[in-house]
Amino acid sequence: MSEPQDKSGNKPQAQPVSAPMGTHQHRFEMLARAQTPGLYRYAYWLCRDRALAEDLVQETLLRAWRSLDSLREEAAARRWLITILRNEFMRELSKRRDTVAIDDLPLVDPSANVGGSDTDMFDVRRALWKLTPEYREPLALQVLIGCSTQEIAEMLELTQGTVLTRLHRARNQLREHLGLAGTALGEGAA
Amino acid sequence: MNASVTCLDVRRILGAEPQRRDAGIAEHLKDCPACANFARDMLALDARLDAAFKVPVPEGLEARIALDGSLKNRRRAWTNPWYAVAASVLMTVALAGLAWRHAHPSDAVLADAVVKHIENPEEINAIAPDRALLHDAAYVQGVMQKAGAGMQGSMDDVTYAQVCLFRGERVAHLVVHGANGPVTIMLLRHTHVDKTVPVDQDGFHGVIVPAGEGSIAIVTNNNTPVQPMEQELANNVQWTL
Repeated sequence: MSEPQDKSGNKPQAQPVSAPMGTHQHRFEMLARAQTPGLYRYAYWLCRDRALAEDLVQETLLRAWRSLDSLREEAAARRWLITILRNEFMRELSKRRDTVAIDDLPLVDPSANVGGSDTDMFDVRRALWKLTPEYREPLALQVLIGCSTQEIAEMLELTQGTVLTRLHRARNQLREHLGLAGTALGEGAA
Repeated sequence: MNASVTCLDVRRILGAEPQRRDAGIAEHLKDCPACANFARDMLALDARLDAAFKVPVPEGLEARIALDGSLKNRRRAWTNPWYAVAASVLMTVALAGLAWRHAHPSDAVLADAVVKHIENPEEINAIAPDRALLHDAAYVQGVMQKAGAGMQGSMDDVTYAQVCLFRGERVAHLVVHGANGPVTIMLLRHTHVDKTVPVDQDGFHGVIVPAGEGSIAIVTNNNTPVQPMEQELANNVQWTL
């Protein structure tokens, strides 16, 4: 699978998905190729379930296929897909609410091959799962997807100030969970 | 030290956006070793977060979401509204025909699609002879369930299980250890066949057998005989959607 953003070490960015503008299918394939890794990872960090994450990506791209013509600006593709995926996740969550609460799931998905035996990676992932979703999600959008705080605010329907506060608190909590030294100055001031 | 940006400001801002380097922040960091340390710590933390967030993406995911020609060819742009009206009538008839044809493809089309799916570069590793057993019955059951299928009894020899998009529908794509190597089993909930369809193409051989409203493809590229599996699978598979 092609993952240019990983190999370069850069943050995932919106890819030019129609240069030159091709057929509907060509547009879709370019879009899917560029966005699938980021979508899957974002979905995984939303739901903590690799099979459900894969379903969410499939549903997201099926919906994207059906309404691709409504995507006017290719640069907005990433945000558009993330919004579709969040809606799909919320729909799935409401269906499952009676059967399982997401916070009741284990801190680390034992069935997922999520990174081998690297102890530090395990610790960081465990710390990430300890964050509440309201802190983890904006952090994933910023660090994993590469969204600006303004974009995150619009996607999550929050004020930019609230997003900044949540990002700040998320990092403070992570530092505590990871036992990192130093004071957490600025708490609550964002 | 820049008086307009305080240590509190810097830590508040960099705690939320570690990459940010406005002029005031950059100047403050130059003159304040403690905040410079904090900035380095935050960047180091973000590097660890970046790596931790990047969980492995499942093998072949892009292939499984690729849509097939039957779906992509349903869209046409019409500029003249009368053409569109006339076309809508024709399309209604044609789509009904297409829908029927989609659920009842010709033997050759279906066999070709199955083999093409198996030998897709993104899927071909599924039949690598050295794949280990999954040892996760719940996961395999989950895959089948998502594809609208279930199986009486357990399958102990599964080496690969994924939900794939096949001809625009979700199917369970399984690989099991056969007598002489891997055997692919595809549970085709939405594809009906009236009789057993032989598959013999590109070095792959097998059958697509009827199973109630759906069908089951059993295909291999080694000498494993697939016939003994036909009846067992056809008897044990259940469609759940």
